[in-house]
Amino acid sequence: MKHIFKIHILIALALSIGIVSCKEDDEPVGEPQLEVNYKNVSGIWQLIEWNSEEIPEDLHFYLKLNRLDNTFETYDNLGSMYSVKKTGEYEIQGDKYEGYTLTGVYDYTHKDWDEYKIKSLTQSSITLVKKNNANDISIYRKVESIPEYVLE
Amino acid sequence: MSCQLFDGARGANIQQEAKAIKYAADNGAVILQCSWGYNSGYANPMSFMPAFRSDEEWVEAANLEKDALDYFIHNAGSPDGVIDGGIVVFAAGNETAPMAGYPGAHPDYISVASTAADYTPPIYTNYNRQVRISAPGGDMDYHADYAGGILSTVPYVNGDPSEKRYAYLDGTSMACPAVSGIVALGLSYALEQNKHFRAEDFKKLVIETASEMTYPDEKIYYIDWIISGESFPSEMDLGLYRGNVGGMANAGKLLDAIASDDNGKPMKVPNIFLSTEGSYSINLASYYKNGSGLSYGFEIENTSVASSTANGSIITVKGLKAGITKVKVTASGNEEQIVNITVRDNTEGTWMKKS
Repeated sequence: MKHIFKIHILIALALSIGIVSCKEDDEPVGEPQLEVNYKNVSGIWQLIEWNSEEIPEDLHFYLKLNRLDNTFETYDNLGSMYSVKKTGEYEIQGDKYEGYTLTGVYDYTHKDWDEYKIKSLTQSSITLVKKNNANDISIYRKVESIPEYVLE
Repeated sequence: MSCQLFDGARGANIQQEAKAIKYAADNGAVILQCSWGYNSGYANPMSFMPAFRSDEEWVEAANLEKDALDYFIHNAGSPDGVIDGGIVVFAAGNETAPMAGYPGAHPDYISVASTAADYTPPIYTNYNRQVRISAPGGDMDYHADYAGGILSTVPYVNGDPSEKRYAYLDGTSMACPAVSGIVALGLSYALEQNKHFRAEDFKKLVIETASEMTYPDEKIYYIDWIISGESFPSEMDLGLYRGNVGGMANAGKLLDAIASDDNGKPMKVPNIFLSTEGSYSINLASYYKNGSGLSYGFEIENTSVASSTANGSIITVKGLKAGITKVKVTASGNEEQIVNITVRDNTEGTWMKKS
């Protein structure tokens, strides 16, 4: 009986090890996944990591998703001297079975976003993967506000 | 550049207008000079057909026109150049109405009223609501002289090149290009000063640096002086205009404001964002004072992400694989600058956009 109990413990340990090792490296440990909906994706997201590479301090990309009217604002200096603001509307497509995709359209240029699969969504981070390129993975951290030097 | 909207005496068609505005934005124009518009919504219906009285009325009726102007404001210029965005300048209109005509009446644009040579408003100019600034547009009815108008270029009437191509004209159509010219002068000066502006900030500066105008309570003008001479003198109540036509556009004050540290930002070598297999050319001389006489270095840290070739101050960067790399940029006699090149598959222009 003692042996059977030990085997059960071993199996349980093995399973839990298995489960832990399946967990995504990029998800903060202990943070529960949130349901993907407009309420949970809304807020200000700062790009902190792209393809396992940290975003350098002198580069920034902020994505502000507004819940009430599904509009977005982006602020970035990836291709400019100073921060550039762009606006538009975003949309969540899909369902919990097939997965969710974030997409959008810019104001004034009428150009579309690429489609981004929402791989992970927690209270503090969102991971987006380009739908047409599984190797393109961006991790965003939720922040309270956009720094003044970016908005100026 | 000049983009023709009107054909002979006919009005413009909005599709052609939208095409012209987009063409201008896509081909380097940063100032849209528009000496045209609809009659003011408050024009006297006995003499004019009044048009729109609110932004909503105009947008509902001329949606494509608004889209095209939005496109210009948000896509002209460059975040890497002297101005990011475009500036739109409209004539306020000539119906003696207490509101500018649209599109100029919309708050995103500069609507220009007219003044006589002594800065007093002429009888024809629209004023009050949505007029943001004034500039000399002539007043022959007041000065009782052709030279009281603005010497203007005019098209051939019969296609005969031997015709005179100059005439004295007055109207807000003449005041409007004076403001566009001041904006252009300001941008040239900003370039010389090695400064960068957002279009919205620059527009604000043009309006804020206009000078306050003072004038007496009334003036005498002659109704239809060109036709009737001085036969019908009439008194004009200038009190209606005081504080209701913006300030007088002031090039000197604008240039001083551009040079001030309080306005604009110093130009610096921009970060570069391009797609794999994409290429991007940058003229480093544009980012330094007296840049054409300098020698440059452009050293990419991770050459597996991007490569570069140089032709004088012009550097052509090619994306090789997805990633971010630092670049050390040197220019003789200047501090070195560190910028980033980001290369991303199938992406064009901005982070979220698909190519």
